[in-house]
Amino acid sequence: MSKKENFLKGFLKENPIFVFLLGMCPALAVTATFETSLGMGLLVVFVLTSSNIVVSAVKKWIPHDVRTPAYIVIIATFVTVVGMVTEAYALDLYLALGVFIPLIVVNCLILGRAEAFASKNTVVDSAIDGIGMGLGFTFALVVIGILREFLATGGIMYGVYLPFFVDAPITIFSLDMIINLFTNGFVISDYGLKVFSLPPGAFIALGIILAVFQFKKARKDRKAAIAKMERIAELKRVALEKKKQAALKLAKAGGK
Amino acid sequence: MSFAIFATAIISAMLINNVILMQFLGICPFLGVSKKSSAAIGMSAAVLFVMVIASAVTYTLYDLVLYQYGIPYISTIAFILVIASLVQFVEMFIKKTSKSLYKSLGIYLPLITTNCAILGVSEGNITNIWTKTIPYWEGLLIAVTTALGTGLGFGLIIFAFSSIREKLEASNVPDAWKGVPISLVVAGIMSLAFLGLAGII
Amino acid sequence: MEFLVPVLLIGGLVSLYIGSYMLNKRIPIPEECKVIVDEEKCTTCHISTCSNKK
Repeated sequence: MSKKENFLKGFLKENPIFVFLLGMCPALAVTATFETSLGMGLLVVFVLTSSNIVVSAVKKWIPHDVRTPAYIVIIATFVTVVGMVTEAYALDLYLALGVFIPLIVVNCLILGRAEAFASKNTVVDSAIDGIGMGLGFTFALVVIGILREFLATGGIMYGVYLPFFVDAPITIFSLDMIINLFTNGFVISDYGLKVFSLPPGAFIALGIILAVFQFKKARKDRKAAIAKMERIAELKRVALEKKKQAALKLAKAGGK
Repeated sequence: MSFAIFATAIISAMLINNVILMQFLGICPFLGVSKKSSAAIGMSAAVLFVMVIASAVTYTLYDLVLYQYGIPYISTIAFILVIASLVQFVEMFIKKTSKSLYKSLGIYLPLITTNCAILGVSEGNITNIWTKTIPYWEGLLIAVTTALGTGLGFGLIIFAFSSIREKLEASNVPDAWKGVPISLVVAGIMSLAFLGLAGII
Repeated sequence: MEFLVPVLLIGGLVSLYIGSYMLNKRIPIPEECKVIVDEEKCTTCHISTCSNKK
C-alpha cells in the first residue's frame, strides 16, 4: 500500500463512521452544529495521530499479553492533554462538548487503530494512518453537522465555538441571502426544522446519510455483478467458437 | 435530604435524560447486541451491575482522593483505569463462582470496558452532582441512584428495541434502508416519543 | 513532595489494572462458553479486531 493510498483510505473506502460504524456516540451527540463537529473531529485527529505514533514507537517493549491496558493508558494521557488545551484556548467548545471530551478514551476507532494498524507498522506509516483516519472521521462528522445545522436553521455559522481567525460570529452560508433577493424581511430560521438540532434529529439525519451510502454501495455491487456475468458470457462464447472451429478443422482433416 | 431527591434522580435518569436516546451513550451495544432479546437482557444486566459499582467507586475516588490532594485533572485516566480493573475483577469472580451466570451475563463483560455509558455516567456524576460543599454520603447516594436509573433506562430501551428489531426482520424494508439505517430512524422516532416525557417532573 | 501523589496514584492504578488483567487471563473460560464469547465479540464493537483475526 502506497503512502497516498494509506492517507486517502479513511475518507470514503474505509470511513470509520459511514462504513465501519465506529465512534457512533460522538457522531450523534456533538453534530448539532457544523462547528462542534469540526472541533470534535480535530481533537480526535490529534489524539489518534499521537497515540498511533507512540504505540508504534514502543511496540517492541509492550508485552503481548498486556497490550490493551498499555494502549488505554497511552490514549487516556493524550485525551487529558487535549482536554486541558481545549479548556485553555476554546472554552466555549470545551463547555459545548462537555463529557464527550473524556469519552474520546473509549472511542472504538482509536483503540481499534492502535490494535489493528499501529502495533504492526512503522512510525511514519502509523502517523499517516492516524491523520488520514482522523480526517476521515472529521469529514463524516462535518457532513452530518452541516446537514443538521442547515436543516435546523437554514444556514451555517462560524465563530461561536471556535474563536479562531474571526473576531465575531459570521454566517458562512444562509438561504436568507437568496430568498431576500425576491422578498423583503424573510427570516428562514423561523421556518427551520428545529427537530434536527434535538436528539431525535441526530438519529434520523445519520440514518438518512447511511441509507444514501448503502444505496450507492448496492448499485455499485449490482453493476459489478452484471459486468462479471457479461464477462463470463463473453468467455463462454469465445470458448464455444474455438470448439466449433476445432470441430470444423477435424471434419476437414477427416474429409481429406 | 429527603426521599423526593432520589425519586427525582431515578426518574430523570431513566426516562427524561435517557442514556441512549437523549445522551447518546452506549450506541454500540444498542445497534449490535439488540438483535436478540436474550442477549439484550444479559447485556443490560451486566451494564446495570457494573455501572452502579463503578459510579460508587469513582465518586468515592474523586471526593476522597483526587479532590483532597488537589489533582482532579487526572480524573479521566484514573476513572478509565478503575473501571477497567473493576470489570476484570467482576469477570474473574463470576468465572470462578457460577458457570450459568457467566454464560448469561459474563460474556458481555469484556465489551463493557470500551462502553461509553459507564465512563459517561461516572464523569457526569462529577459534573452534575459533585460540589465542594455537598456531604460525602449524600453525594454518593445520589450518584448511585442516578447510576441505577441510568442502567434501568439502558435496559428498558435495549429490550424494547430488540423487540422492534425482531418485527423489523420480518417486514419488507427497501434495500437501501435495511439494517442500520432503518434502526437509526426507529431510534429517532423512539427518541421523539421520549422527548414528550420531559414534562413529567 | 506534592508532585509524587499523582505519579504514585496513576502508577498504582496501572499496576492494579495490569495485575487484574493478567489474573483474569489466567483463569480459563469454561469450554461451553467459548463459541458464544467469540460470536458476541464479533457482533458488537470489536468488528475491526474481529475481521483482522480471520
